[in-house]
Amino acid sequence: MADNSPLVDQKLAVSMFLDSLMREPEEELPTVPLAETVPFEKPVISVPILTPADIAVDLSPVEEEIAVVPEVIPEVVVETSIEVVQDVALAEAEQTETETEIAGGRPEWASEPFQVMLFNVAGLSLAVPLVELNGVVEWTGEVTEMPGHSPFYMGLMTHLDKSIPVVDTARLVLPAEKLGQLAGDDPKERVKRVVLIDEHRWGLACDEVNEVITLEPDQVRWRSSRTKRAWLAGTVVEHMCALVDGKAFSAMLEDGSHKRN
Amino acid sequence: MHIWAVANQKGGVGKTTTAVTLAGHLAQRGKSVLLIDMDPHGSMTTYFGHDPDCLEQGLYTLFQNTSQAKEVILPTNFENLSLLPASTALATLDRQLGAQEGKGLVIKNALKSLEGEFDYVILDCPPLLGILMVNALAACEHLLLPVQTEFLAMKGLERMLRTITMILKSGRHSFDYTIVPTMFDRRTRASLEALRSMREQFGTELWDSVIPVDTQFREASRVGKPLSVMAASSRGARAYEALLDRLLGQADNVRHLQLVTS
Repeated sequence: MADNSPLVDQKLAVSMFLDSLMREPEEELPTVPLAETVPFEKPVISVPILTPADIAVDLSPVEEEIAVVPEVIPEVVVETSIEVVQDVALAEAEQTETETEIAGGRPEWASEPFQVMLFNVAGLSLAVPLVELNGVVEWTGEVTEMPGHSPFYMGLMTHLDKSIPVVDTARLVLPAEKLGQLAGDDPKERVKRVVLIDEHRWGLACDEVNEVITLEPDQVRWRSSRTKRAWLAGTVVEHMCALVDGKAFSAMLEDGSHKRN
Repeated sequence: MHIWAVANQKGGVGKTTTAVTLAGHLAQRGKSVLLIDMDPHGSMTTYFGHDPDCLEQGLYTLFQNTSQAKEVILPTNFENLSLLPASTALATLDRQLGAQEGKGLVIKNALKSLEGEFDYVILDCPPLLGILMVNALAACEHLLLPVQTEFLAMKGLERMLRTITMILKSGRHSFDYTIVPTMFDRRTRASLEALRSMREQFGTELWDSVIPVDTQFREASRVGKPLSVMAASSRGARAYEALLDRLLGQADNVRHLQLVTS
């Protein structure tokens, strides 16, 4: 209905409100001059991001593994792709585990226990740390579409008098080979919520928002190398979810390294 | 400089009375006290004879510029007692600022510039979980929760405690709190039963005495004086004096709520 206001999920509203208000903005920290906050972001932005070729190489061993053990393939095609992505994410974390233990690979916000909000895109469970989350709004379908953009670009949404570009997260995080399975799917029907990150710069369309949980840094398999899937900070096996690095996700969208054919 | 906040998400439970009467006692004991009216209704501002609709400067100014704290403080007619007044424009802060990052820390940061100027700062909160209450909770080292001794007020307290738990759980700020039963009328069964339930439910954080109903509180607000000044020997004033003694004495019923990790 036209009268409906896009409101944050009730169970999240208060915790997100408190978290945002009480978060010390980096630029106001007296001990950290403004200029010093930039180098923290630079390495993330300059990381080369995945190309279609990377993804193909990435996925092949996982697909082989599924072929050998056919009984693990779920009947629903979409779910298959989801499991593959999670397996890929977990496998990547496995590969870099030794490195992670040495180098850490932990973002600054993960030096202590931290809270994350779980959300789903095309069945894939993702987690975004609350420190990188600016809000969650209902998907109303009211976006200004921009002709000529990539298929994942859903349009500009107006929120608090700001125009926020909304992207179909599924099309960005699912491997290229699996995107075909989303072909018949209309993201505008699937999407229920928009997760706002990086000071409301981007809206990540998602299917469902779940609860907020607290994670110990040790519960996450951190990725020390982010040459591929820069947005993936690590994986949380216990919750079978991929931990999103909001800043890296935003940087990926800003610098265009996400573009796929 | 000690910073206390007086808050409850329910209105009419005695927040302003608690803030003003405690401040009056502290001032009479020679402590320099700043009262901050954080309620857009401006009850405390009105208490001290100012009109929140007509003031040029006040707490709102601090949200525009945190360095102006000293300029917006008003003297009162009482020695050692100063007021940072509210204005009606405060009611627009939630609309204007939304949940902008860090805007819950404006008062905390502004008070840093007053370090050494006052012995005590007492923040009187609005009965609403919004940017002003979050500012008060983020700035305070001790929180006073006045609760009317009646059933509905206790429900409001449960809600308030959930909010407090969320803030403490976030690990961003930590404070102690004391629940203060107010408007206690020993002649009514409702008051007695509510107090008994409160003791069962909130034992450790509950002050072990009560603030009684006292018509003198109304009279004190009418003449614009803290009850401790107007009628020091009244029941109400003596009750707040006992509360103050307990607060200053590091009361053993005030327990530090540790960060809970589940």
